[in-house]
Amino acid sequence: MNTRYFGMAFSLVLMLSGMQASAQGEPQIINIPLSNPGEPITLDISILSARIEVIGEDREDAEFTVTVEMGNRKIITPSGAQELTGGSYSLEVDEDDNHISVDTDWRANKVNIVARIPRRADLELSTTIDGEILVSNVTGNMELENTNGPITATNISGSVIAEAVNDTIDVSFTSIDASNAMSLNSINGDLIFGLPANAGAQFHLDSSRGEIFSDFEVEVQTTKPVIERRDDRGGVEVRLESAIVVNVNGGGPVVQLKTLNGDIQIRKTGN
Amino acid sequence: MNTRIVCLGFFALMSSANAAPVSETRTWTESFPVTSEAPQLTIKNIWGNVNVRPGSPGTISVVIDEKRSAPSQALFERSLETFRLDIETDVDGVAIYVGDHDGTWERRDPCRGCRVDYQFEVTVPPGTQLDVSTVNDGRIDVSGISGMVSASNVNGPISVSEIGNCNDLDSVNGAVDVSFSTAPGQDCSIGTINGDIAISMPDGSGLDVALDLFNGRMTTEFEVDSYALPAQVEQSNDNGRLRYKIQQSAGLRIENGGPTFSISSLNGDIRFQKN
Repeated sequence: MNTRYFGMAFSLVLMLSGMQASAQGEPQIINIPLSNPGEPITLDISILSARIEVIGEDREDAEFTVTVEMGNRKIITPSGAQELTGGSYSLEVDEDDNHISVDTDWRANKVNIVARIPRRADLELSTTIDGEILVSNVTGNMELENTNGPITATNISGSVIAEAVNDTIDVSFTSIDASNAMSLNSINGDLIFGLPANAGAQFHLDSSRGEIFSDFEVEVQTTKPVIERRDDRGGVEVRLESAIVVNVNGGGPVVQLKTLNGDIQIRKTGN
Repeated sequence: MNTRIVCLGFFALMSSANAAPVSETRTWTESFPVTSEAPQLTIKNIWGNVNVRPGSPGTISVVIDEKRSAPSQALFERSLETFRLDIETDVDGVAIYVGDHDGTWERRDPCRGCRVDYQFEVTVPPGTQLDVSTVNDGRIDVSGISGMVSASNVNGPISVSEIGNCNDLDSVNGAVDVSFSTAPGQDCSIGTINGDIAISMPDGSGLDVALDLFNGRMTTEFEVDSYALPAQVEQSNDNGRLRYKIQQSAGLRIENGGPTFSISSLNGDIRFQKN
């Protein structure tokens, strides 16, 4: 009896691991010389299904390591179904005046991109299906969007606007750009915002069903609900929004943290 | 008063007569002597079929069936200039373009509502190299040609049977059927977006296939082995814009391998079958 259960469990584990571990193709490495070495870059990656990792380094070019998961296409032969080796995809990397964009065609399965770029960079990264976005050691303005996976940014400076519908957003700053407002937005994920112990910010916190934690002492500001009225041909839309506004270290740039079902954590960097 | 009404009526009658649709059909035959051992036949059609069969040595014969229509006599006259047959011929072959060779008809006055269907029935000498195409409401039908065959269609099928070799067979919204009378010996590219692809070969034929597929099923009557094709990295520079492109196809070896066929399909099935 036990042996049978063990066998079933073992088979299940094998089956699940087979499902999870899609075969990876050979990694392709592309080195991109920049039009203006030493100057900041912009990087735009928008791929339907991707793990996108961007790493800032002391360098004057950009290096992309690209791996594409092989498909599971089969061909029906006289002796049965046979799996095809190798994916079918096309991926393009363009550089124009320090602006780099990465795009794939419709055939690509999940793409794994590791981009090693100069530290000073503005980023626009997005993915939708089974994706993950990781950023580290980058200074600049970042727009990060992941519909069904997490967003993690560590040791970054500048500003972030991030949206993850169903997963956690975790950003950790070494310094923040006082001139830019920031926003982390999720429906079902937790929001974690880390900033240096001496940095000031004004947080607008909105978690309908989650809890809010802070490593900092906060000064709660008196606020009124914000009412927006918009008239258009379809009628009148009135939007009422109420957020908790707190200052950290006397306040600073506005940081909106909004989630429906997740928790919100304000952390001291290094904790 | 009555005169004015009569005049108005007369002009109305004239303009309605002028705006009446006009159509005309005619059929004729052209014969072109060719002396080359491997003459070239090029036909670039817009509306209608292109059928090619083997014929006598030394002559390319074409039966052309033309049906021309326009919303008015004036546009009909204009269509004679816009949609004409541009025929180039010498001892090495024949090229027939609907419109004109350099495609400037597309940039000229569009002659809205005009249409000229051409049905081409062609016989060619043995060994003729074909490059034939159509765009709308037509099919490409080639059979029994031993020379290299290239064919394209946009909104219809391509049927190429009992041929020796192909170079490029490409459709957008139609099926591609190709059958070889002998084992293919040359590389070929076969693609479609929304149609099925069927490739028939004699038993024992071998191919190396680079597959780019999305939807659809693949079946084979041959023994096959799957193998990894290396990714291709291309670099280009377009006015200072650097572009790197990585492409990879899935590899399939049929029997013991052979020439490389690049086969791509978005929404169709692919079949490899024995003759």
